[in-house]
Amino acid sequence: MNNKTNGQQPENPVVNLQNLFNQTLSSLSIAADEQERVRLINDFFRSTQDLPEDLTCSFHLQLAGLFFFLTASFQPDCLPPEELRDYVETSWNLYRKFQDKIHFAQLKETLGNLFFYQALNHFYLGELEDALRALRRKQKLAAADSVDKLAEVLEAVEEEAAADIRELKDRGSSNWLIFSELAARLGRENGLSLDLDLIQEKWKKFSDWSSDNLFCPLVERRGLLQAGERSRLFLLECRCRRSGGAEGHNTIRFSNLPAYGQEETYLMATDALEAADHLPKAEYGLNLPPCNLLFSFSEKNFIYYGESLSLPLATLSLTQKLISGQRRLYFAFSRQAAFTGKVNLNGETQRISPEALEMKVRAAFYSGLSYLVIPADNLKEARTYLYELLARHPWRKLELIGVGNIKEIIADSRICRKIKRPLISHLIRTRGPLIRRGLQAILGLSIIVAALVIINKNPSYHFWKIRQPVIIEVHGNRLFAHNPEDQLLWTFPLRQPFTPNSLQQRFVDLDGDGEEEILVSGNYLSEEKISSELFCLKKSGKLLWSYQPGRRIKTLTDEFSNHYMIKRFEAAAFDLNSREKSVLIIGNHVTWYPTQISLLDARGRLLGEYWQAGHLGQSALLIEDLDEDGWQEITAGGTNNDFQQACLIVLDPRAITGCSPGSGNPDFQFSELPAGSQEYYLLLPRTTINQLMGLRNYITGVHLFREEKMLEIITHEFSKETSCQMLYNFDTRFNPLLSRPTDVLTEAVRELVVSRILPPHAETELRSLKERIKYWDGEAWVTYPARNKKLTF
Amino acid sequence: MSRQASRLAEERKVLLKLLYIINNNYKESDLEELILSMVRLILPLVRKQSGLYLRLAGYQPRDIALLTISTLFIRNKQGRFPVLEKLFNWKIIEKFMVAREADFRRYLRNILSRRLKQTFYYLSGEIQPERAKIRREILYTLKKLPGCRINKENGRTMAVIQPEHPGRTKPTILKEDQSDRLVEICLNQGLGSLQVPKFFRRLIEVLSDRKSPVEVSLNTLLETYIETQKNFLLSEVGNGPVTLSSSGTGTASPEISDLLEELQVRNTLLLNRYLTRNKIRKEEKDAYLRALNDLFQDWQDGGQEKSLYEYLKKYAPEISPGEYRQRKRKILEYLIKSSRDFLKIRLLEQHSASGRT
Amino acid sequence: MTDRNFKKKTDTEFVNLCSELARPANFRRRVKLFHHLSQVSPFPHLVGFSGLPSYEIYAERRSLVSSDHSFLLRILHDQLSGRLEAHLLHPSEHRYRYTFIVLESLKHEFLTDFHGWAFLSQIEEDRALAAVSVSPPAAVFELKPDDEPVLIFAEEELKECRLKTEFFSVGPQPTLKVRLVNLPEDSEIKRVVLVIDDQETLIAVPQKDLTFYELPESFRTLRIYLYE
Repeated sequence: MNNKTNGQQPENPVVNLQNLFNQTLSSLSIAADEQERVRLINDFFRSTQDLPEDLTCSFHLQLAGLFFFLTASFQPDCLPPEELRDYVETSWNLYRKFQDKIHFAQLKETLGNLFFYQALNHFYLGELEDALRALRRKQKLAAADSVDKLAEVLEAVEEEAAADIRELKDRGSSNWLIFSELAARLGRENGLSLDLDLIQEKWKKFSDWSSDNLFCPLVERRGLLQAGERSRLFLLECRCRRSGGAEGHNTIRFSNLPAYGQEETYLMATDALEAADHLPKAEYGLNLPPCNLLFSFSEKNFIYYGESLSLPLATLSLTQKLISGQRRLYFAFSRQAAFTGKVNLNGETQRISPEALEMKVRAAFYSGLSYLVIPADNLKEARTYLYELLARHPWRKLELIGVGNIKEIIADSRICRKIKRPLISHLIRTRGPLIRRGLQAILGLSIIVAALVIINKNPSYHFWKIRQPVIIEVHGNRLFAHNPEDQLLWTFPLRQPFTPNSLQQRFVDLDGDGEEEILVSGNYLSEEKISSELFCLKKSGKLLWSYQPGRRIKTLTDEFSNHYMIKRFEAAAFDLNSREKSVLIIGNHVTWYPTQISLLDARGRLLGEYWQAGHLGQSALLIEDLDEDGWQEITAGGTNNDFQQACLIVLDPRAITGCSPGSGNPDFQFSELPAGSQEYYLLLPRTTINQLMGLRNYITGVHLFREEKMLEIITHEFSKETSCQMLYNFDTRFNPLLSRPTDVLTEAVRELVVSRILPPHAETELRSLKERIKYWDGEAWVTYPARNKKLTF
Repeated sequence: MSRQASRLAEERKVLLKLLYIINNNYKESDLEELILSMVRLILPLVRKQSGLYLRLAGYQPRDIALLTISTLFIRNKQGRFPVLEKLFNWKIIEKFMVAREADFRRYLRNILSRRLKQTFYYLSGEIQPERAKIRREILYTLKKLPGCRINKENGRTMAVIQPEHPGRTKPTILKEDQSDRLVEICLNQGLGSLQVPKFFRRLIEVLSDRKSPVEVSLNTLLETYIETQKNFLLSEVGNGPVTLSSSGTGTASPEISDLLEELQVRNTLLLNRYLTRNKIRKEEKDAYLRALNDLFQDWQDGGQEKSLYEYLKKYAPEISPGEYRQRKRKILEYLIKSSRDFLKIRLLEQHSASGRT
Repeated sequence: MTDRNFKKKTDTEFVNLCSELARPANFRRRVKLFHHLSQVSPFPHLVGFSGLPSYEIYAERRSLVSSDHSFLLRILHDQLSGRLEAHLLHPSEHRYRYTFIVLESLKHEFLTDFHGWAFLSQIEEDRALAAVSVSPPAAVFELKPDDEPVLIFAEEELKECRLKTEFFSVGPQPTLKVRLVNLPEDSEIKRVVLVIDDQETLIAVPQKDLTFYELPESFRTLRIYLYE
C-alpha cells in the first residue's frame, strides 16, 4: 500500500512542454474552423508563457507564423471581446519577442483585423465607447509606421465617452438601432465610415426575414465523452419539393451531417416534421402534402448531434411545406432571432439540457441577434445565464422568448411574419404554367389572326394568285384589279369615285422595259363639275404617274373652268424609232367646246398640248405615220365651233402646241395661245341639209385603208333614224380623192328635195363637196391641199 | 631537395592551405598539414630565440611552438579562425600568390617570430628562471673576460670591473638598489637580445669605458640579466621591434624604399671615403653594401637575424673572424649606427610631417 | 629502443599533437541522442494548399532525445532564411547553454549559444543526423575584471578545478591567458571556450593546460567553459 516511489523523478518541463505542443498540433489539425485554431494556439501561448524563454522559444516560433496568418484574416463570431483582447496581447508579445522574424506589416494586419472584430463585438453588446475606441485604434494603427508608434497606440490612455453617446445607449430599443443611429451621427467624417459600413454589412446577416433559413445555436461535441465545448450559430437552410405519390410521406435529407449520430438525427427530424404537419392540420384544417425536404447547414464541418435542432427544423419545415404546397399563406422568420429546442409530435416544446442552454445563451449573447427562442420550460434558467452575462455587459439587448408550442412562434410578430401572397401572384405561382401556356396560346393566336387580317387586307400579299392578265374595275373610289379567275390582286384608291362607265383601261408597255403598264382613266363623280384623271400603274398596282387634262383657259370673252373629261386616250409609239410610247389624251371641257389634245411621254410628262375650238369625235382618231417620216401623226376629226364645220386636225407629235385656227371671232379666239402647230387643218363643208337642219356637221370617223394608202373621213350631216353621213377619201397628203354621200344621206336629201324643203342643189352638191374643202396653210384658208407653212419640219 | 628548396616548398604549401582556410573550403587534412607546416617553420625560431627560457622552464620547444601556433587556430562561433584570418587576410594572400616566395617567407617569419615573442612574454610570469644555472654561466663568463675580476667576500661573490686604463681609484660599489641603473644601461645598449656570454662581454665593455672601476655583486648581475631580458621582451612585444614595414603588409612602403635608397647612397659615399683612406679594399666595398642591404631587409622583417660578422661573411667569405674583429667590425658598426640614426631622424620627420605621432 | 625508433616515436607523437588542433574533439563526456517520433506538423495542410507563402516560420524537421528524455534537440528549418537550426532544450541551464552538438557522421561539432540555439550550416540532414550526441560543459567559470575567476558550475569530478587568469594589455590586442589548475588526474580538457558578453565565442584547444585569447577592446562579462 505504500505508494511512495523510490527517488521520484522531478517533473521534466521539457517533456511536458513537448507533449503539450504535440497535443496542440493534433488539435489544430482537427479543428473545425480558424476561430478554433486561433483559440488553440493562444491557449498554448498562455499556458507556456511562464516557462523559461529558452525552453519555449522554438515552439512559440513554430506557432507564431500560423497565429499571425490566422488572426489577420479570420472572421470570428460569437466571441467575447475579452478573448479578442487576449489575442491582441498575444500578438503584441509575440511580435516583440520575434521582431526579426515577423514582418511589421503582418502585425499591423493582424491587429487591424482584431480591432475591427473587437469593435463589432462591442457594438453587438451595445458598448459604444469601447467600440469606437477600438475603431480609432484601428485607424491610428494604420498610420503607425514604426514599432514605437504602434506601442503608443496600444498603450494609449482611454478617453472619456461623450455624453451624447451615453444618452444614445440608454435610448435605443435594439443594439442594431443604437448602432445605426450612431453611424448616422458620425456621418462620413472621422475616417471611420469605411469600417462602419463594413460593420453594417456584417450585421446584415442578422437582419431581414426569411422563409428558407433561420439561425440556430448548436453545441459542438468533441472527444470520446462528447463533452460540449462551445456553441456556435449556424444558419439552417431548407429546400422543399413536392414529392411524387410514391412515398406518401415526408422524406428528409441532410446535405452535410457528421457520420455518427445520423440515425438519431434522422429520427428527430422525422418527429419534427410530424409536428410541422400537425399544426396546420389542427389550426387551419390543412393537410399538407408529403414533401421532399433537404436541409443544409452554413458550416460544412460541424460536429453536432442532439435534439435541440427539432424546433428549428419543425418551424422551417412548416413554412417550406406551405410554400411548396402552393398555399397563399406562408411564414417568414426573423433573422434577428435564433431558435433552439425540442418538440414532440404535437409541436409542443420540451426542455433541453441546461449546460447546452448556457452555451447557447452565450453564443446568442455575443452575436448580433436580438432574440433567442427557447422552450418555455427553460426560460427561468436561461434568464439566470443571461443576467450573469449582462452583469459583465449591461448594454446588450437580447430578449429571451420562451415558447410552449410552435403556434406561439407563429403568433409572435417579433419573430414571425405571416405572408399572404397577392392573388394574382399566387395564381401565377400556382397556375403559373397554365397561365403561361394560355398566354402563349393567346399570343400565338393573335399573331395568326393579325397575320391573316393583314394579308387579307393587302391583296398584294396574295402571292398564290395568278397575277395576269389584269382586269380593272371600279367600285366606289377604288380600282380593283382582278385576274381572269376573278381573284382580287390589288386595289388602287382614288380620290373620289369614278363614274363606273367612264373607266377606260389600256395595257401597254410604255417605257419599253418588257413589262406592261396599266393606263386607267375615268371621270370623277361629283355633284359639281366633272373632272377626269389618267393613271399609269404598274402591273402590281403601284402608281407610276397620273395626269389630269385641261386647265383654265380663256378666250377673249370667256373663261372655262378646269373641268375636263378624258374623252379618249391612246398609247402609241409616236416615234417609230423609239421603244418608248407616248400617251395621247383627248379631253374636252365638260360643258363647253374647247378640246385639249395632250401628249404625254412614258413617264407622264406633258410633251405638248393643242387646243381645238370644238369637240373631237371619240372614234375619229387615227394614229398613223401617213407621210412616212418615222413619226406617227395624230389625225383627229371633230367639229369646229368657230366655223361651225367639221374639222380634221393632223398633228405631228413633234409639235403639239397652240390652238386651232380661228375666224377672228373673239368668242372663239383663245388668249395666251400661240398659233397651232398642226400639220393640216381641214374644214369640211356643210351639206345643205346640214345647214338647214343642223347646227353643224362633225367628223365621226377617220379610217385608213393601208394598201390603198387612202384615208376615209366620215362626217355626220343629218340624223333621221340613223346617221346620215358623208364620206370623203383622201390620200396621205390629204388630197381629196372623193366625196360621196352615204345612201341614207342621199335618200334623206332626196326626200327633202322632193318635199321642196331642200333646194335641188342639196343633192347635186353631194358629189362635189370635195371641191369646197378648205385647208389652213398657216396663214390663210385655201381650197387646195396645203400643209401648215409655219412648220419647220 | 636542398634545405632552402624544401623550406620554400613548405612555405608555398602554407600559402595554399591558408587560401583554402580563408575560403572556408578546407578538409581536416588541409588544416592538419597547415598546422604541421607552421609548427615546423616556427620550431627553429623557437630554438633560436628561446635559449634562455628553454633552459629556465619545463617547456619543450615543441610545447612553445604548439602553444604559439594554437593561438592562431582558435575558432569562433562560426567555425572560422579570426586571428589567422586577420593576419592572413584575403588581400595579403592574394598579393603573395603572385609575389616572390621570399617575400611571403619574410612575412610569415615576421608573423611567427612576433607571435613567438608574445608567447614568451606571456609565459614570462610562469617561468621560474633557473637562477643557479644562469649564475654559474655568468660566473664562468666573467672569469674569462678581461677587465673583470671575481672576488669572494663574506660569502658574497663580487665582480670588479676595471677600466682599460685603470687609475688608482677605489672601485665604486654598486648597491643593490642601484641595479635599476644597470638595467637601464643594459637596455640602452641593446643588450636584451644577447645571450649570457655576449651580454656580459658587452656590459663589461660599456662599464670599462668609464673611468672608474665598478664593483657589483654576482646576484645583482644575475637579477640585472633576468630583468633586462624580461624588459627587453616587454619592449619588443609592446612597441614592436624597429620595423620599417608599414601596417604589416610585409613589404616596405614606397617612402621607406626611397629612404633605403638614399641610405645606400650615403653609405656608398662613406665607403668611398674609407676606400680612399685605404681602410677597405675595393672588392670589400660591395660586400659591405650588400651586407648592409641584408641587414636593412632584416630590420624590416623584425630585426637582426644573425651577427654582423655573418652578414658580411656572406658576401666576403675570405674575411676571417679575427680580421673582422680587428678591422672590419668598427667600420661596419659605424655604418650601422649612422644608418640607424639617419633612419630614425628621417622617419620621425616623416611621421611628424604627415601628422602622425 | 634505438635512437631511430625513438625519433620515430617522438615524431609520431609530435604529429599527433599537431593534428589534435585540427581534429574534432572526441569528447569523453557525451550524451547520445536518439530519434524521437514527434507529431507530424499540420501546417502544410493548414496553409500550404492555399497558395500563400508558408506562414510556418519554423518547420520542425526532426526531434532527438536522450535516453532519459532530459535532453531534447529540435532540428528546425527556418523558412525565412533557409537555414537549419538546432534548438537544445534541458531543464538545467548549464546543460543546454554553450553545449557542443556533435554530428558524429560528419565529424563536425556545433556550439549552442546562450539560448541553446546552434546554426547548422548546409548539411545533408539524413546523413548528418544519423548519429548525434551532445557534450555539455563540465565546468563553467565567470570572470570579472580585476577579480579571480569564480566557479559557477562544475561536474562532480571537476569541483576542485580552478583557473588562473592573467590579462595582458600590451601588444596589438589585449590578451587573456588561462591556465587550468587542479585538474583531476584522469581528466583531459578537450576544449576551452571563452564567451565574451554572451555574444562572441572563442573555442580553443588547450596546450599544456594553457590557452591564450585575443580579446576585443572593451567587454563586460567573460565566461569560460571547459569540456572534457
